[in-house]
Amino acid sequence: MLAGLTLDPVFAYAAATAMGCIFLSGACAKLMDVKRFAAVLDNYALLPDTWIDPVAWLLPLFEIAAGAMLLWPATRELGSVLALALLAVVSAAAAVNVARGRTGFECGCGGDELPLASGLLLRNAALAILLLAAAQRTAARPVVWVDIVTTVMAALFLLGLFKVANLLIGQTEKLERLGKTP
Amino acid sequence: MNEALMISNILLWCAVVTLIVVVIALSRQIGILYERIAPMGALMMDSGPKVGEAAPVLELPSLQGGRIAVGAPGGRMTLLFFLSPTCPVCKKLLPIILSLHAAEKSFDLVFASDGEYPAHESFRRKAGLAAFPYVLSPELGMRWRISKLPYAVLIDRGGIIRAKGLVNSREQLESLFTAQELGLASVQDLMDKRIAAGTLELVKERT
Repeated sequence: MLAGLTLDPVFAYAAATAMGCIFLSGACAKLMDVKRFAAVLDNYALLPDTWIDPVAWLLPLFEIAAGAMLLWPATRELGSVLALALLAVVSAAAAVNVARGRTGFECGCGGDELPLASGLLLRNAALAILLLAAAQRTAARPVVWVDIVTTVMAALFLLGLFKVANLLIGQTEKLERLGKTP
Repeated sequence: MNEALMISNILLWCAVVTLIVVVIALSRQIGILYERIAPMGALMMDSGPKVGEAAPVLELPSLQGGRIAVGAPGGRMTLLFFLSPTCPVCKKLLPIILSLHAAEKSFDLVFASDGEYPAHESFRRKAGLAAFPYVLSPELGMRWRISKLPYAVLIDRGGIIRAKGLVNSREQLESLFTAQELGLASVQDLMDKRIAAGTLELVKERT
C-alpha cells in the first residue's frame, strides 16, 4: 500500500501477526494501570498537564485498534498505517528526551519495564520495518497449509526476538553501572 | 522430494522457535547475573536498619525551610517515604498517601529523595507536597540502603523502626500500618511465619 510493492503473503502476514500481538499486549499493559501510564507520560515532559489524562487513555485505545486491525486480513493495510503513525509519535517523544539527555526513566512501552535509552529507538526502527512489510499488497498466489505453518512460526519467532530485544535493552543500564564500579 | 522439503522446513521452524525460547531464557539469566554481581544489587534489598532497631537519626535541611531530624524520637509516628520525580509508581501512590494521612492524622509524613534541587522543587509544588518536610540527601538513602523506589519506612514515636518495605500499591502501604499494629516486621515476615507453621504441620502429619 505504501510503496506499492507486492510481497509474498507469508512475509506480510507474519509481520502483521507479530506486530498485532505486540500492539495488543502493549495496550493491555497500559490499560491495566492507566494512572501509572499517566505518570510515565508526565516524565516525558512534553504534554501540558491537562492533556496527560486524556492521552493516557487515548494512546492505548488507538494501540488496540491498530493491533486488532493488523490481525484481521481485510484491515491489515490500514492497521499497519495507523500502527506506523503511532510508532512514529511515541518514537519522536522518546527521541526528543534522548536528545535532551533525559534517559533512564521508565519508557512506558507496556509489558516489560524498559528504561528510556537509545537502544529503544533502534528497536522501534526495526518494528517500523516490520510494519512497512505488513502494509504491502500481497502477491496473488494459491496459499497452501505449509504457508499457514510458516506464517505462525515466523510470527512466533518475531515475538520471541522482540522479547529478547526488550530484555537486552533493559539490561544495558545494569551492564553500564557494572562497568563503572571499581 | 516436495514432501521431504516440507517436512525439513517444518522441522527447522520448530528448531528456530525452540532456539528463540532458549535465547529468551539465557537473556533473562544474564540479567539476573548482572544483578547478583553488582555491589548494589538485589542483595541489598533486605539490608539496612532492621525492624525493631532504633532508626538512624540524620539532621537534614528540608525544602520546606528549616531543618528536620529524620528518625529522631519524640512527637508522633513518622512515615518516611522515599521517592523520585521520575518514578511513576511513586506519583501514583502520592494521592493515596496524602488521603491516608488526612484520614488518620496519627502520623507525620516526611518525603525523602536525592538529586537536583530545581526539579524536586517544581515536583513538590505540582504534587501538592508543599506542606510536608521534603529532604534531599543521598546519605539518607545510603543509610537506609534504598535500592528500589518507592520505599516506605514507619518509625514510631520512640524512634524505633516499626515496618519498612518496597510499596507498589495502596494495599502494600496499608500493610505497613497493619504490620506495625500486629508487631510484625512486614507481610513477608507474616508469610514466612505462616509457611513455617505450615511446614511444621506437614512434618507432624508425616511423622
